[in-house]
Amino acid sequence: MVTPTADQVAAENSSLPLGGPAATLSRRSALQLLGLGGVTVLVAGTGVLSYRVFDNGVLDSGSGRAYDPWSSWRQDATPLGAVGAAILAANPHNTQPWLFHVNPTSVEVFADPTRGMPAVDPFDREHNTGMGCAVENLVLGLNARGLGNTVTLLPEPADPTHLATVLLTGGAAAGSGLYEAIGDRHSNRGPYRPQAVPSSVLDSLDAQAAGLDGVAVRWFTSEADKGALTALILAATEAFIADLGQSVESLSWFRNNRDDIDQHADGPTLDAQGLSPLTLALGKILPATSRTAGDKFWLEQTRTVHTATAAAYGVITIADADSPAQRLTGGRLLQRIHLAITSRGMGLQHMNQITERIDRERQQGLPATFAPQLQSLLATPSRSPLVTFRIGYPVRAALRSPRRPVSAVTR
Amino acid sequence: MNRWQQNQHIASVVGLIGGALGVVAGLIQATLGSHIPHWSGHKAAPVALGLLTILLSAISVLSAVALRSEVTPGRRLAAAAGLLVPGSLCFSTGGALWYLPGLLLFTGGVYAVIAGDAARTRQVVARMWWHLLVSVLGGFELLMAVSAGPTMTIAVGVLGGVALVVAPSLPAWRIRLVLLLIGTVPFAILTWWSVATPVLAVLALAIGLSTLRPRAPDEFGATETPVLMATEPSRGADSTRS
Repeated sequence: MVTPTADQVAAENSSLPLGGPAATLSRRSALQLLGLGGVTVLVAGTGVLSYRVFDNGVLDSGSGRAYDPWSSWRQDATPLGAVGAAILAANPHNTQPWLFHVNPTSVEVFADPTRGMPAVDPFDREHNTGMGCAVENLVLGLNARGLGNTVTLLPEPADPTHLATVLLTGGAAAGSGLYEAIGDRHSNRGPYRPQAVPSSVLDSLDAQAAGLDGVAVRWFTSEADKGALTALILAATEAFIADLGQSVESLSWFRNNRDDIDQHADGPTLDAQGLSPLTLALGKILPATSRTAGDKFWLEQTRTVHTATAAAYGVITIADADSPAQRLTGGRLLQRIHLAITSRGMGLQHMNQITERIDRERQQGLPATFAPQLQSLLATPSRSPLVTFRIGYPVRAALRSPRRPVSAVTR
Repeated sequence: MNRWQQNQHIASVVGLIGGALGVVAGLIQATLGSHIPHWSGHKAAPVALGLLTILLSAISVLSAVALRSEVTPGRRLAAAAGLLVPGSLCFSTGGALWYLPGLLLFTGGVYAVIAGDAARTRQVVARMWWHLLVSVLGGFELLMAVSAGPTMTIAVGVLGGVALVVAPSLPAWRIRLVLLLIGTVPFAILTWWSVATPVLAVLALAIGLSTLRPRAPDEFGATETPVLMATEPSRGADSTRS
């Protein structure tokens, strides 16, 4: 054992943490310095954490300018107010592919071809369906304002982007439960409770097709039916992920941080993924994952949450899946169902992996693997599947998605 | 006026201009921020961030004013922190509007740091470091609070952040303890799922306990001036030599 010298003891007892020019660094001082440095690094790390919390809006999900349309859509009594309701409609990958012309006598609805997804939705199936959803919200908004509700689909055959005209014919203001639900309707991608949907509820949802020609819903409620559709959805999800074009295009619309959301006000976000608060916070604080890691997470969520907790699936069917008019009408029914579900406190999530793979295989001239399987599950040869969704009683409320303001989509 | 006094004077003037411009930047952010996103940094909540910018700029102004008179090393370094911390933090609240005020405050802060004997400064920094860390954590809490919602959470976070910023500089240990608790626990409980606020609370409490010890008499005691006068030649002396 080494006995310390008097000088060493003196140095050990020195109370100068950093000392003057002549001071020697004692063991205690060194330890103090080390502790100080370590704690300082911890504080600096907390600073980085705090900045991520600040920068990504961890403490206030779904807030800011990009979300203002969700709270301002009732305020304007003019047709522009109804457009404010239209832009809150469900739409594919939150691309918001719409443009509106508001005239003294009508509101014209146009597709915005620059906001398509050529790999995910090559034949505009979802694009047209989403436009139908917007038309439905527009009609509900105009009705509630007593401004009219006469819809003409595809009024200009020479212009395929001109999808609908709604005439401002006037009339009595007619609000409705569906209209009231517009501001609360969000895709709920979280888990649903293990609670079956009563057949009376499904019947009331079927009734939403009233006045819409040629569209219907096929429900999958039994365990066997749901299991078969679940297997097909999972297979389609795996095929989607394996398709580089679809995977990359899907990711290109994902808005991973607050700056992107504020700048673009579109696309899917972490907030809208139905994650638990803790997982969501971690997702926002940690650096963005790679495409492949994100794809794996999506597949896992599809397997363990989306399909595992679906109380029922619905598939909107039409006679001709290539008909833009029928797709638009199918979109109107989809929007009505989503609003009706919302007004009952239930959740709905769009799950279109199967039809996305059907269209992709067709686009690439690949053998049709998913089309015959889904057709077989539908068991109605005269009907074609348009879009698929799941419904149920959600564990937690869905958060809002960003929206471009009315001023950005009207001309 | 010797070189250290001159540096302190520069720190005061530059800090005052930077702080005043910072207040203006905050006002612009709060009132026009949403209309000039390229300048204001595309902020989601420009009003709240503008108000925070004003608050932090006001702290800078007070720090700059404090540097106008003779101060102890502790107070000088506290004033330097009052210029440097807002100067750095507000780059994330003011966007391009903060570039000029931030640069000025940072410059002023550096001048305040070097306006004294380096060895003495190091000693004081070492003694005050724990206090400074708690205050810095309070600044981080303020940053998170202004991005929070709803209003109740913002209020709790802002109050907590301010409590943490000021707690180490108060003389009574009981008040410091109360402020530490107010500054950490409520906000962390309200936002437990955010990960960051509980981490900050644990760290601030752990470090804050070290600030509860009795203060050394010279931390805020004697001024630096006698030392300065005795060791640092004045400009007049320099010019006489030249």
